[in-house]
Amino acid sequence: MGRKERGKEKDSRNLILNRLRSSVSEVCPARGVRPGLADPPWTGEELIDLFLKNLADLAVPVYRVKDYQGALSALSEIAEGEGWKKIVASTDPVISALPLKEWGRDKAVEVFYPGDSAGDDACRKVLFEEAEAGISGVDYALAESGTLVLLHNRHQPRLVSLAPPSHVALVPASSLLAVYEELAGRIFFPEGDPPAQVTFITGPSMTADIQMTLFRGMHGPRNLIVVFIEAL
Amino acid sequence: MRSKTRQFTQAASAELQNERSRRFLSNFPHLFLVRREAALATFSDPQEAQDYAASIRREAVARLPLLLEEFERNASARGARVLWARDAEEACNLVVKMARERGIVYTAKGKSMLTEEIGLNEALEEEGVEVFETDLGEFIAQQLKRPPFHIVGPAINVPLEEIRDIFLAKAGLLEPTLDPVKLGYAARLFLRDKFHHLRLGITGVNMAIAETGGIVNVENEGNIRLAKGVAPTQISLMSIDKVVPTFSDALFLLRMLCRNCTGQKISSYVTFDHGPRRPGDVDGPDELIIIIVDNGRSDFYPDAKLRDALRCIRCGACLNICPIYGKIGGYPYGFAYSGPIGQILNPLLLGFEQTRDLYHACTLCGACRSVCPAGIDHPGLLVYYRCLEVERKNTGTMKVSGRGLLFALLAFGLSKRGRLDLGVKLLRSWVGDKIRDGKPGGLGRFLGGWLRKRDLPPLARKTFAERWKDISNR
Repeated sequence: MGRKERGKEKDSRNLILNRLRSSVSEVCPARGVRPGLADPPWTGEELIDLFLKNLADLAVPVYRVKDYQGALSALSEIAEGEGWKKIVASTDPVISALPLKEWGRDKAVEVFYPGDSAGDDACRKVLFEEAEAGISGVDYALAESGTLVLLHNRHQPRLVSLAPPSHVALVPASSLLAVYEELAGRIFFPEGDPPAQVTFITGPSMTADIQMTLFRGMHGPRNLIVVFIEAL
Repeated sequence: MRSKTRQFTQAASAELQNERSRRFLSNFPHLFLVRREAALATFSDPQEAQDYAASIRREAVARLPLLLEEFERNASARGARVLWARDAEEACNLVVKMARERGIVYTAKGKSMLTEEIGLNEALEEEGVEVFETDLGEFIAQQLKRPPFHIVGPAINVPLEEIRDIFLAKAGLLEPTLDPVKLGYAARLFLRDKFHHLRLGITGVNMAIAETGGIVNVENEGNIRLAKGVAPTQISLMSIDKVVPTFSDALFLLRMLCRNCTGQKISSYVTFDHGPRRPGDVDGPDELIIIIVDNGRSDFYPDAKLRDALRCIRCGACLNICPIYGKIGGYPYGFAYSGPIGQILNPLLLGFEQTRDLYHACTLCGACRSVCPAGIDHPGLLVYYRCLEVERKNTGTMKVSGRGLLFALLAFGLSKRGRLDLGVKLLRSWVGDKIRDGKPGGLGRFLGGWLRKRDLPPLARKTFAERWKDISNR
């Protein structure tokens, strides 16, 4: 970028800001207390019930299991039902404790981690064309709307939960929070570099853009399946 | 985007004759409103929640310059590159230049009303960069070269036959079908290939968080996530009014946006971006460029009334409830924004001269105001636009119009009781002579069209005041 252009950009910035600054500023009255949702606070089993009810309203299938062993059994059932041959998986803390490669050998399902690919192109090809499902953990789950929260980093790639036709999310019970606001302190404050991207996932990809007819799997996964792990 | 706001009346008349549009409009806005109401009932007090959202937007607009600076500082600290553009041309030039520098052949876009407003697609295509809208509705509208019918569902009214034909011709649909799901699937396959090899992703911004320097995108399809997950370069464009003070404010507005828009508690996907991918990340853009676009907004910001237009969060609730929109749909508004918010914004962005019909085409019923989660007083603003028009006319020519003379006389007559009584006495006999068959026909020449459709029964012999006097004297 030449000096002249850089100068022009700076001009635009200052011009816009100066124009806004020179206007009389309105003093806003202090805001009241943020209004709450109809029923909180939810705790314990109530919280879980609400989370699962919201998922049910979104027609998201849920496998409620005790522990990792149960999670593997659920995965086996899903893999068989869907006829998986190849899947991708994140290496986030929830998934990395799971012996997925062994499980895959056992079930004749090839398990691919985006981190081990030879390069970007090869990785893309698997994600976009070959994998039948992406398996990820979640960092948080939000009961108020049945939302999964993923903090993306080297162990939680963006495309695992997005590019394949199905997404299976392993949700530890301990990740469950009641309302959105509880995230603030956990993701952004206290100081620290927030993840480059945080994603809220609530149900499968969908659209009603053609004559208001619901269509699942418009660009992202057609199926979202939740494995809820009680003991984690 | 080239505006066609001047043709409002003509386009509206045409849409009123369009059976298909009418049938569609008799159902769908209502359906959205029912869903909206159910969704808002998840608050302990829905009205209180609407009011709180309005107070966030009010504060955001009041503190706009401070918040923009805070956002810029924090976004830059996270590694985003923040650029500013005064107008549409500058914004488009910035994007075109960056595309050229990176050797971009095509780009995939998330739905963004701002890019429609500034005509980004046309600018890129002029430079030989192919543009693919990837939101299904926008994709259809783009293929058909049609403006958005609704700010949330841009092609929601388009008949299946038209979609089938255009997809057969341009979007790789192999066999003719009228199944919306199969049509959607064809678009998925066609666009998936574009995403797979994407080098530049372009998105809008639903909110920019001053406190954290993050940008927020709200969507259901996953196309925005793909645009931001695959391409090495991400350009996100926001108008100056998108900024909100805190992360918690953004989360609260998110609840209100989704509930007021589609009646969902939250959309399928919401993403928060803070800078480009970090070292070691396997996907995400290497560079995140945020362009803050003014395009005329700071011109009207000094006016404390007009500035309220900047509160809008683009939920579309005002479109769904508007009786005018409900008859004519989105096309006649002739620009990126339709419905009540289009009547508010288009005049401010395009000028009052060529949008006169827009701000007059309103009965001031106030339905839009009653549902607005940003607390915009649409009817109040439209009346204000009309006042400004009259003021402009009067000061422009320094001539008192006929109406002005009439009101000057009225003011003179009403300011003293004696004058009023005298005036009434004189006028009554004169007006009484002009009444024919219960209509003020004889006055027609004097007051023109205003009297054409009005009735005027014969006047009583005496006025109420005169009779009162008689009774008191008796």
